[in-house]
Amino acid sequence: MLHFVLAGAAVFLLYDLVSDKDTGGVTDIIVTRGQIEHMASLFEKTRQRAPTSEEVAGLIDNYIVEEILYREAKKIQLDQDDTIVRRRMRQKMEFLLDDLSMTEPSDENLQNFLENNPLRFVRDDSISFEHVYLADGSQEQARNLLARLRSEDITVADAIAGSGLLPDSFENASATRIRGVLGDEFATEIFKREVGPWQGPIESPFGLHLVRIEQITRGEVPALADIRAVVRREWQSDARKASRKVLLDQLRAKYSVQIEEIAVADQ
Amino acid sequence: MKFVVRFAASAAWLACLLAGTAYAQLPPPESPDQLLSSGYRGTSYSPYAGRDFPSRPLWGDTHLHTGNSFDAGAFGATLKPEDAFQFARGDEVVSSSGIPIRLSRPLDWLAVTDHSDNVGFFPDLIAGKPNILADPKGKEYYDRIQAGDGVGVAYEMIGLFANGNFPASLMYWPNKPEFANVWERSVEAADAYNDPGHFTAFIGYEWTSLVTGNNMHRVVIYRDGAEVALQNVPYTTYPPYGSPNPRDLWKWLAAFEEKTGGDVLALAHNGNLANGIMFPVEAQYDGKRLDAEYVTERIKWEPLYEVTQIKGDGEAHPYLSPEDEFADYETWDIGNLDSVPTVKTDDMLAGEYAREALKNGLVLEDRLGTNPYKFGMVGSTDSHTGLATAQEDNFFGKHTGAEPKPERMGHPFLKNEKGTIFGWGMVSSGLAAVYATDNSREALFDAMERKEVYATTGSRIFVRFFGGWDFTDLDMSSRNPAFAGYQKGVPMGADLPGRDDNDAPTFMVFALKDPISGNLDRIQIIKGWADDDGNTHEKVYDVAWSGDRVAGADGKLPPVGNTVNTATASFTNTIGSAELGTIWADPDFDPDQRAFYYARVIEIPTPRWSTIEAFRFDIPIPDGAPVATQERAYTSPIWYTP
Repeated sequence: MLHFVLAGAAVFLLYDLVSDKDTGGVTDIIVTRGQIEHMASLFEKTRQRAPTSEEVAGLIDNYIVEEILYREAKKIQLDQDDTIVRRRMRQKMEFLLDDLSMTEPSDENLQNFLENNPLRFVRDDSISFEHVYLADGSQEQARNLLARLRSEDITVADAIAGSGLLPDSFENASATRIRGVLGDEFATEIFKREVGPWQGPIESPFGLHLVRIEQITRGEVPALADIRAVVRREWQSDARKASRKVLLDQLRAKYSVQIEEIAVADQ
Repeated sequence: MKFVVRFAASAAWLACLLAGTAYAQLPPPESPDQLLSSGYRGTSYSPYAGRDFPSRPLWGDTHLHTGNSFDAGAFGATLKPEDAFQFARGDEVVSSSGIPIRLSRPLDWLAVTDHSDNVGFFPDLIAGKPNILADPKGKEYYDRIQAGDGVGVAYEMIGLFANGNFPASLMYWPNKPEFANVWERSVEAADAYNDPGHFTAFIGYEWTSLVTGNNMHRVVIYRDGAEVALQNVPYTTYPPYGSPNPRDLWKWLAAFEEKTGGDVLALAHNGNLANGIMFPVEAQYDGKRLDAEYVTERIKWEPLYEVTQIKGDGEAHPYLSPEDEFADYETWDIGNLDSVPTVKTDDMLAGEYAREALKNGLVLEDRLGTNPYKFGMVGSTDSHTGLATAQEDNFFGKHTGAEPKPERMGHPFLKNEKGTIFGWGMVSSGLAAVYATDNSREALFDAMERKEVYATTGSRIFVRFFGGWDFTDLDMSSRNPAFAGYQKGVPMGADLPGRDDNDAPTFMVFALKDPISGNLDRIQIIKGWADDDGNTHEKVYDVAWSGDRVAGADGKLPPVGNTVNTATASFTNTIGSAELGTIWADPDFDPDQRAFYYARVIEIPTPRWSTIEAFRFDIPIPDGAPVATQERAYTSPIWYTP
């Protein structure tokens, strides 16, 4: 679906809805029907049922108290130099900028993006292998065992039975998974190897492994049609970051910034 | 004492093997069935065919805040849910304080759980809505987007906005029905990053109940996607829209499921900051006595508890567990979460720590018919940085103000007359491991509901824990002991099956080290039980350990040692073991007493994050900061009911 999100600067005008004319020391607060409906709808979305008339009265009273305290706080400038208020304003501006920068890419945008960023979309390499490992054995012992496995002097089942608790084989396991279970060095090394009979040893934190690799599948970059949603998501993420910067630069251009010099005590 | 460090058979086998003993060739089997001996538990020669149980834990975090959370924003967090998901799946990102960061290994899943907060903005759609098309500028934008110029339109609008010339006719007021909010953004981000089979992004939020500074926070996690989640907005804690009472949250959860047909669960955290009200036994915080409704609703909606996180570890407290020399781990016990924390007293502790709650739950089950605290355990970070970091050498702190910098360890975090928790007291913890059959919202959520989960303090220790009545050492002498685990017993989080004789229950437990962290020191099984008089008890059993250590006269196994070099913030894996496992039978079993059992796996000492930080910035290790830490895993319990 074509989807385009547009922000309004409405929040800045919200409080204009509440008329604030001075009538002899008393200030009006007018709660509009729209506001009441909004509060009631928020109540319903939160509480999952419509408010009773008593509860609506409570919502309105709560709003009036908040409005009075908000205005009084502003009058005595409690919002000035308040870190939390400032950061909240910044946060709201960032939300707003993000909305402005959310847009819908064309297929051509996405195809170009995919071609220019293949590494972001390439599938993980994967591997199927079985292994036997010696937790405490020496290189020489591992090589002896390798020779016996290759000459079928020992069955795989018998050889495996003496290893520890690691799974005896991995089927179509991603490189990420192999790294997670057996560590980076082991993963890097085994993916350099070729499919074939028993080989090794390859070292991991668990010991010396003899491996029989059945299959290595090198990850490929899928076609756009297969991963369109993923590419779109990544494209939008990048576009948002880029336009956030553009917008900030444009806003900056409206300010002349002067920074006073200070003496910096180098330690 | 029963213990198996690797397998007894293993050494003899290796000797035999290396000596070159010939193995007789098996005659060819007459039919495939004959190939399968009675000791083998698979139904096909390939043990993986038809396997319907989870084979590995999927790592994640149930509890992460981003700049969309009000307080995280106030601390300066600018990362958004999008960034949090990108980081969790393994991308390099730049933290809010400007430091590039990447995880050592991706997480498999993440729940972004910003505080429920209804203040929000607009995003409003131009997708051809009549009110937009009625406006000439709106119509022009719409047509250009249709023609593929979305990018051009966006830049034009940015320019207009920056100059204050944004068309007023296209602005929406917040109280119109089109009004959306922060919640929608979070939900949409989770849907965008949810990638079944590769990475799961959960929709969630935090219900932040704080009664006079006493923490009763819960995280809510959704099994479903946006179409279900967006039918409501999150429950809040302030009247008139919300309530701080957990009973009201449970009602909300029930109404949500009723209305949407969706599935949600909640999990609490930081009992250690609750000043006694997290796990009530007699009455809840407002004086209302626990009743049948409280106990049934609580366990119905809260199958898990977040037992370890940055603001302290909550498994056990030394006051409650004086016999447990590992109980005082990263303890935060000066008070609650108030700006000046109300001082904690010893009588509050029983209502705060997971092990005590598990014990008290047995008594409550006796009294009220249901155990409200029959929960599984996970760890999570509760970080407010958008960065789920729990690894000691890659720890980005509780909030953006506590991201890496030389001063962060000295900042006071919480302070009252009982003491001060400084920045160095933050705990680089924790992680949630879930035994799900595949990496999807549905499978992970279902595993959470059946409590087949465990917690770690940040290290990716692999641990399996099964309970049954007839496990034998033979069940461990396979490279796939989980087959026997599921066939003859139940996994962590479950109830022991019905007992058919007078023998004690047996447990299979085994663990593999995290390949990039320390070796394993020991595995312990922690038993809690209730006696006939309604008193609770606990005992910690060392069941498997590295080396040839022998328990002393006090029954305690000697410490594993310590290789941490503080000057270089390093350690060596010259002590401990890469893998440990055993079959253990309860030597003190009483068939008439309710009991639970869980496993605790402890690593050898490795440098604590504060030691690594001191090394990197060339600053002193703060006074009082432990130099080393022993990372650990806590499994969900297995329960026995007479």
